[in-house]
Parts: sequence; structure tokens; C-alpha cells
Amino acid sequence: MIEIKNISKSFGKNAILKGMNVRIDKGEVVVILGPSGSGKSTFLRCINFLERADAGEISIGQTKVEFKKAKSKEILAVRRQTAMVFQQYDLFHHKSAIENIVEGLIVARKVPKEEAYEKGLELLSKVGLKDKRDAYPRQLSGGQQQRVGIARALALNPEVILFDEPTSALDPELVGETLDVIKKVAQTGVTMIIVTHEMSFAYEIADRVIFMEDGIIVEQGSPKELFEQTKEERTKQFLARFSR
Amino acid sequence: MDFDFAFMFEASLAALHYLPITLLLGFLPLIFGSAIGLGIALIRHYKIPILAVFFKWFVTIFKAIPVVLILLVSYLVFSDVFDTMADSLALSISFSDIDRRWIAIFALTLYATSGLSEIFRGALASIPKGQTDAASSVGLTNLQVLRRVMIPQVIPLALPLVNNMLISLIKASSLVSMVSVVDILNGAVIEANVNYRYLEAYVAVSIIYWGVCASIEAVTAGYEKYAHRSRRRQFA
Repeated sequence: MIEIKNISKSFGKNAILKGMNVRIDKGEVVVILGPSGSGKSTFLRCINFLERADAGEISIGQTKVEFKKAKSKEILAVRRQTAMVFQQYDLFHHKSAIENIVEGLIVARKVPKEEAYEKGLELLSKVGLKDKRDAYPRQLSGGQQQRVGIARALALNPEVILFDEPTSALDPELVGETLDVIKKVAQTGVTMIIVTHEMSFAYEIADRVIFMEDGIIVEQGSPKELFEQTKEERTKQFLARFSR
Repeated sequence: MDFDFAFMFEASLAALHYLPITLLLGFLPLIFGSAIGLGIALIRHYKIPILAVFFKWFVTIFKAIPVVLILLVSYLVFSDVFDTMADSLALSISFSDIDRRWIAIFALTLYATSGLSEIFRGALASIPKGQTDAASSVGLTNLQVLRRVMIPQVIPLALPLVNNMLISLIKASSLVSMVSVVDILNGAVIEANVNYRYLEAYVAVSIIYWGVCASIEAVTAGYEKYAHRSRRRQFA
């Protein structure tokens, strides 16, 4: 279970997050929707301290810490229970697919090399890229890179995987293969927070959908509640732009 | 105009005798300068308070001063300070006992440091922020991020420019005769002092400089080709 209380973050005078509370159960898949600039990405980045939130606290696994006061040891402890999949994939350019996956295992988790590579290979086949084990990121398509990114996150066996618009930078043709992999992972019971603009995907995969704007949660509920029995006017407006 | 090829050959032999000095004056400042320059680049990249500002000025100042002046000023300051210090510490060595080559290496290191720190700073800045984010997100400590993700990507980016710096240093080392160090240029000139055939001596030394720089180019080009190919070979 992950619980985030009263999280706030400003960049200068610009308040991005204004005291959000989110609680996520083990195995739950939460999709966050919202217009750009609403703070979705910042929320994810604050969870694993890529940005330092100004206030609020997080409890994840055995770790419970205030964002503002966290020391580097506690930050590391939170990071080692989370993993992130980035919009721009952000694979390590100088490492092959398999090396990208085992890096965190070997260096951060001190897993023996052989064991790490075994697990890495297993995950590569899971995302359908076993034959690309020694390929470098620039030799892979966007979709393939993102699948390696997902395998890298899975390798850490985290409490939660944070997906920051995982398909936004992909060619429309490659979105499908990446979403399929995410769905497959979701079925294995991994806890996930996904920021996305893919509505049908959100509807299909989410246990709960959160609509946020201006740093607060406007509305949340099951996909059925949010998409079909929308309560808030603002949510309706937002969703209307996506319905065909 | 007669050109004495025989003497040119003679002069180049005399000059080659000092080749190790010239190489030392190129490589040592490059090594020291890379180590210190990378440190300065990191301090400025991560905007460490006070130090970042201090080194910004350090680099700005030394970038703008000709090598000759760095060399002459180090010589004068060092010769002045050294004897006073030795006196006050009651040491029995004086400035004249000190190998002037160290002063030359010191001055060239100052020159190399400012240049190399800018090279590394540029390379660091050109690595996307996502690389650091990704490395932190898989649980690496800041030091591990630096060692395992940043530095390995900075080096290939900086290599062509570092190579350039080495060549600049080798050429700049020809100025050390001003602090009475004998390098290949000075060696050939000493030889020519006997018969005033300076042209032959200068041509001979030019050829040696060209040979040294061409070899450095060849080695780096070879390495870049190798690095490129070994990366391609791994294509699944």
C-alpha cells in the first residue's frame, strides 16, 4: 500500500500541486488523467524524489517519510521501492538492452551478476525482445526502447511502477505494442500509477481513474463511474474532447 | 638560396634527442589538466555554492591570458616566492636548484585546466537530464550516477576536443625556451647557433611537430573507429 498525504509543490510562484491525498492499494492500477500543466507528471516525479515536494508525506512499504525533510538515505529507500517508465524512455545510451535492465539490480540492489542477467533475459522475453538483448538504444525503435524501459522497471520488483506518459512520444503505429506490454504487466498484479492520454486504454486497464487539474483531484472513481457517470462539469468538458 | 639538407638532418637528430621533454610537456599537463578540469566542470555543472563562482572566474581569467604570459608570470612569481619561502623555512635549497621543467609543466597545466574544464562542462551539459533521472529512479546513489552513467557518456563526447587540446599543448610547449627549458625547438636552435643555419633547423623542427601531431591524430582516429565498430558489432 502506498499513501501520499497533502502533497504540495511549487516552482517559484507557480503552484503545481496543491495538497493532494492519494491512497493506492496493493495490486491496484490507477490511471491519472488531466490537461497538460495540471501537475500529473510532477506528482509522479515527486513520489520518487526526482522533484522535491514542498510539503506532504509518503508511506510506502516500511518507509514513511516527509517529503521536505527526507535525507538521502530515506530518498534512496523510497526509490528502491519504486520504478519509473519515462515519456522519452531514457534508456542509458551507452548500455545495451540487457545492461540497461540489470544496472539497477547489480549496482543498487547488489544482486549477483549471473542472477541479474538471468532475470534480465527473462524480462526481455516477457516484453518480446529476447533477440535484442545486445542492441543499443539507438538501434531500437521507440516502441522497443519503451518496452526495454518497462523491463528495466519490472526488474526492480518495486512496490509500484510509475508510468509517465509512456506512449506520448511514440509513433501512432508503435503505441499498440507498448500498451499491450503494459496490460500484460498489469495482469500480473503489479501496482501501477499511469499518467496517459490514451482514453480507451485507461478505460480498459484501470481499477481507478483520477482526473486532476491545477494540482488537485477533481474527480475519481472506477472507469465506468468516471467515463459514463461523470459528475463534475470540468471532467465532462475534458472527456468530451476525446470522445469520437 | 641554398638549403643544407645534410644540416637539416643533423638538426633534426639534435632536436629528436629532446623529444621526450616535448612529449612530457604535452602529456603531463593534459593528464593533470583533465583531472582538475573534470573536477571544475562537475563543480560548475552541479552549481556547488561559492566554488562554482570561484572557478567560473578562474576559468574566465585563464582562458583569456596567452600561454606565454602564464609561463613568464609563473616563472617570475615562483622564482621570487621560492627563495623567500626556502629562507624562512631554513631550507638550504634555492630556486636555481629547481628543475625549470616543473615550472613549464605547472604553467601549461594552468592553461590546459581552463580549456579542458570548458570541454568537459560542454560535454556534461549535452547529456540529457533524463539519463540522470533514470539512473536515480533505479536506485543509484549520486556518486554511482556520476561514475556509471555520466562519466562514461562524457568521455567519448569530449575525446575529439581533448585530442585537440593535446595538440595545442604540444605546440605551446615550444614556448618553454623562455624559461630556459630545452625542448625540440630549442635543441635544434642550439645546434644552429654554430653555423647560423636557422632555416634548416626550423624546418627540421616543423617536420617533427607535424610527425608528432599526425601520430596523435592517427591514434585517436583509430580509437574512434574502433569504438564505433565495436558498438556496431554488438547489434543483435
